[in-house]
Amino acid sequence: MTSEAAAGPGASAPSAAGAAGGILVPRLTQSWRSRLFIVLGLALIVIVPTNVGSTYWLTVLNGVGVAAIAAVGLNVLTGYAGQLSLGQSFFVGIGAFSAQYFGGSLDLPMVLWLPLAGLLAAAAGGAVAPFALRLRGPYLAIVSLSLVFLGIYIARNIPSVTGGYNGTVVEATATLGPIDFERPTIGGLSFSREQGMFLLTWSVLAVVLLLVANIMRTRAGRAMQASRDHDIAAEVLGVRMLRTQVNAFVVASGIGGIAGALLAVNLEYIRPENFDVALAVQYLAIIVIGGLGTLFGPVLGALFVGLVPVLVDEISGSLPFMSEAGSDGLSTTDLTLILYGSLIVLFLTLEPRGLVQILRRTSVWLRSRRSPR
Amino acid sequence: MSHHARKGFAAVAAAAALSLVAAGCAAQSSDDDDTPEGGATAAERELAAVPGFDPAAGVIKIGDILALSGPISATAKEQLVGQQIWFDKVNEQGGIAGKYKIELITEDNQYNPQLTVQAYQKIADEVVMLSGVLGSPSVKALIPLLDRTDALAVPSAQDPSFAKDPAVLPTFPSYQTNVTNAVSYLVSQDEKFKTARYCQLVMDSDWGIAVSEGVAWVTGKIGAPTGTIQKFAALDTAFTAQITALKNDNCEVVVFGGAANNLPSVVAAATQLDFQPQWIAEFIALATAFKTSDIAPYLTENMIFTGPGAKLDDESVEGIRNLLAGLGDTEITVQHVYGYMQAVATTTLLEKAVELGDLSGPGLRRAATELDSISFQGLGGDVTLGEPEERVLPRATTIYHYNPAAPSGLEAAAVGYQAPEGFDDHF
Repeated sequence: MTSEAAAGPGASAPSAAGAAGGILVPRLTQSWRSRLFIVLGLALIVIVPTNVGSTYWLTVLNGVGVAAIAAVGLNVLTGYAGQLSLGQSFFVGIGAFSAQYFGGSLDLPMVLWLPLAGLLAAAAGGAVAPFALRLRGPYLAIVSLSLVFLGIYIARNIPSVTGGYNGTVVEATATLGPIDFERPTIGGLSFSREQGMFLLTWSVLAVVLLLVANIMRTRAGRAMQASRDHDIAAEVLGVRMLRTQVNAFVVASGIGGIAGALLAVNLEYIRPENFDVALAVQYLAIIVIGGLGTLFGPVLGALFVGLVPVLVDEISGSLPFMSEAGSDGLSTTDLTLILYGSLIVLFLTLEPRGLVQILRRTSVWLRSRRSPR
Repeated sequence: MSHHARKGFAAVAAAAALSLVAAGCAAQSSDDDDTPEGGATAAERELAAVPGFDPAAGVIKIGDILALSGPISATAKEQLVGQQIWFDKVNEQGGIAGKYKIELITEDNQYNPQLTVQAYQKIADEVVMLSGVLGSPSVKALIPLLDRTDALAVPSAQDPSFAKDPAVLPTFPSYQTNVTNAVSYLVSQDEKFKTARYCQLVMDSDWGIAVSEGVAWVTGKIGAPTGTIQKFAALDTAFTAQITALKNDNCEVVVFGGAANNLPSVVAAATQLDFQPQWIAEFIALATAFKTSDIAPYLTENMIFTGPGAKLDDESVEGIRNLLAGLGDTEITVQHVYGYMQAVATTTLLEKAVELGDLSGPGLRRAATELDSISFQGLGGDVTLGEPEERVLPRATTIYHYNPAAPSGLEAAAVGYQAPEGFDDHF
């Protein structure tokens, strides 16, 4: 992976950098196009839920939003800091059960339980980080994977917090002052819970993206990217590896914890097995498909991973060669898995740098067609 | 503020304004009141259209969310076939109340609670209720949503916590009840089981915990000693360590709480170690597939199974007769029975709801409280209904011996057995 591909839109082009205290600090946005893109994204956070009445599609999109937040966190660790991790679902689980404990059992408001979920997960990440300094690549991946098994075991054995094997209904309420995301009303209009949760989830995603974009422009963020690209060279240049690794783990796991808290209030029922290896692999797949070390890659990856199976399921029902439910033959789930897997292989073979790079190339191609020769 | 920044803010303002103007499409007035008219009696009231029911078309749509793919899809497909057989029978007779045909809409949850919620959201506006939700975790995940929408589902699960939940129409005895009945049955057959040493080989899950609760209760009741509890994960295929531990603990009865995919490996390990206790297993899926396998002799010699049903070829039992007629050349299994019983519970409830004149979610919940009980055409004990807190799960279990000559390898040794030792209220 090149640093150009990995640094993201805000940091890739030297021309976009501005001088600040003698150090080149890239601007958050480079052009009016990227600003327009951000504005459009923010507008969609309001436009989509207020115009999509289908609770089904909103549930799917809420799941995508939560997965995107968790993947943005993992992307900090794996994409920007170069630490391969399969343990993100562990931190997401900490966030989920923390949300229920603080928001449900202790009845604290969201303004407390949401940050606390992130802080607890971040603390766990900070505790794990020193081990990462001694491990690289697949070794770190295996160690991080063990966190997932450990997490499930611990969660099963503290039923007073997690409900044990049976799991727990999530009673934390998603209210922020006068805004009740579970029963939102604007004027005389009332909206569904799913519409409110969309507003909450995707707004948090926007904040998290802004946070990560800014972190990657700081000294600590650049240290993460330097340690990823060449750790020995970075250390020679004064990057302190332990601090950098801890920073990456804390940020990644903290964001994972916030994703877990939102997952909990979206699902309303969680159990230890929710946060298993399959979820961890899914997050890794999201950042690889979307584009490692890019700001919007995890969002695109989450949209791909979340929406492709649903869309295939939607169209497969009308295909003539599909079997009846319950009978032998090709089911919609079978077809979904086949097409989903094939698309992943196809995308990554044609563009290993992910969906973000495909979008960039498409954008360049469109501009080249418009510009005079 | 730069020119582009001003343009950006203008765009946000315009988009926000547009979205709020358009919001009427996906919002409803807080003053809306779509509750049915309250003054009229049921007899006077026209059966109103609700999501999933169109009086003009004369069709009631119901949903079934089950694992049509994945490791337990074979089980789920048999349950679905069982349901469809009873719905077809009802439709042949004119439908619910003789005029409303039933149409079944299925969704695959892959035995995943999160996908279950998603699947329900997909069909919630198309069905009046769910005639099946496969798996206790999936049912638990769905209950908050069912409560919020005043909807109702029949669980394909045996967790006793569902018994008193207004969102659920319970159908089957609990795992604990089945274990209690099986142990009691053994004691009734041979006094030696009163003093035998009872051990467990259970899945490391809430299912395993439920089985353990049943064993602890019934052995306490009969005064039998208990031994080691060995656990395993759902996809484990190596059981040598657990079987060795059971053998070393001199276990004489082992209660197995696991799935059909675990069973061949358990039997292989037990055979290799020459461990031949009396086994008790909860329902056996894929029993038919084992009939010609190498594990059939061991199952025949050492195992009894619990489940609903009756003698699976006894046509004097109405449920079995209908199932055999609907299945044709396909061999009947206990999973067909499970599905059929869920369908019977569903149509009984729908009949009551139509009689009361309301097929909405609240109407169905009210119908469930108005029903005293549901009977299952000889396939299982009655479930006692009424107000949710008064409901009692069926207490009867059918005990099967393994016999390759019997339909799907299961020969009913005791139909509708109910432990004279009684049951914990929690079961």
